[in-house]
Amino acid sequence: MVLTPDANVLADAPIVVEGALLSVSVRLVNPSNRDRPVIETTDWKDAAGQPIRTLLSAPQRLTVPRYGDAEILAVAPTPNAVQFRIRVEPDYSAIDPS
Amino acid sequence: MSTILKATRCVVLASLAALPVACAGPSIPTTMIDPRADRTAIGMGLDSRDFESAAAKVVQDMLLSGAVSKPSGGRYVLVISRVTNNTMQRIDTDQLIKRIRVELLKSGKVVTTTAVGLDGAEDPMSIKMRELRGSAEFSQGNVAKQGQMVAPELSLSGKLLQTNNKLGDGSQRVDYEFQLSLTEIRSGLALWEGSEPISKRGTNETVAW
Repeated sequence: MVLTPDANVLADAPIVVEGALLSVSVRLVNPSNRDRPVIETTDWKDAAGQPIRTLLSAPQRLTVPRYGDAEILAVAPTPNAVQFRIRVEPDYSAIDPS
Repeated sequence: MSTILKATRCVVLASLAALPVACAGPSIPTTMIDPRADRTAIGMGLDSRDFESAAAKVVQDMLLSGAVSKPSGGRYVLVISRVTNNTMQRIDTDQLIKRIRVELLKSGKVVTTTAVGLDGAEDPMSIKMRELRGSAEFSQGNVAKQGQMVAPELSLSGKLLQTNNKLGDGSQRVDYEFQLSLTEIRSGLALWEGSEPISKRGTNETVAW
């Protein structure tokens, strides 16, 4: 789990559920009084540590509301995906046009 | 009078001379974009990032729901049905559907048939090659025999929608929605249905069509 310093959110420990496909959920918490738009990316690797190329690793945008939380939910793209890394960074494109 | 004419001519000529410079716009060099580190600005229309993000969420939802996990094990055979583009943009719906197909195939739970489709086979070669059956010119070893094609069990259909609204603060909001249904062909029942919204807000100067 990687939280970049400028993301300004906190994260609970990931909850991993093993099944036919591994799934993982992480709760992000925003204790501040401003909404925090972030980009979340989940990378998957096989047992040998080789990265798995998948659309499920595409960056996802979400906003952690002020004094609130948001959930990251990820599912392994293949049964071979047994390792993961979640990266959370600020979404600077979420600029208020007004 | 002639002085005014000369002055006007000078202004027009100067404007024409400046036109190519004005049309050239700001000088932005062409660069490659790494999709994994794409920090370019977003627009009110749909781009590949939107399709990627929506496809990833749809696939994730399908996998987590268990709808594509065959009770008897193995893979479901999927056919792509009608996917309608009801947005104001010219979109090839494969920008979304192909991404979903690829990921479902990787998951090992679904394989898509290209031998049948609403408007004929996506890849007509499977049927065409059966014309070689019995041909003396071809060894029959690789020629498909009767009854070898696999009929689909699931059908994926959907709609891409768009709504534009002007907001009270003078900005513009565009709501897109990708609606998809996964139907079990045998029973006609939708095993999974999903709707993926994408909403954007921007200035009224940008257009989303």
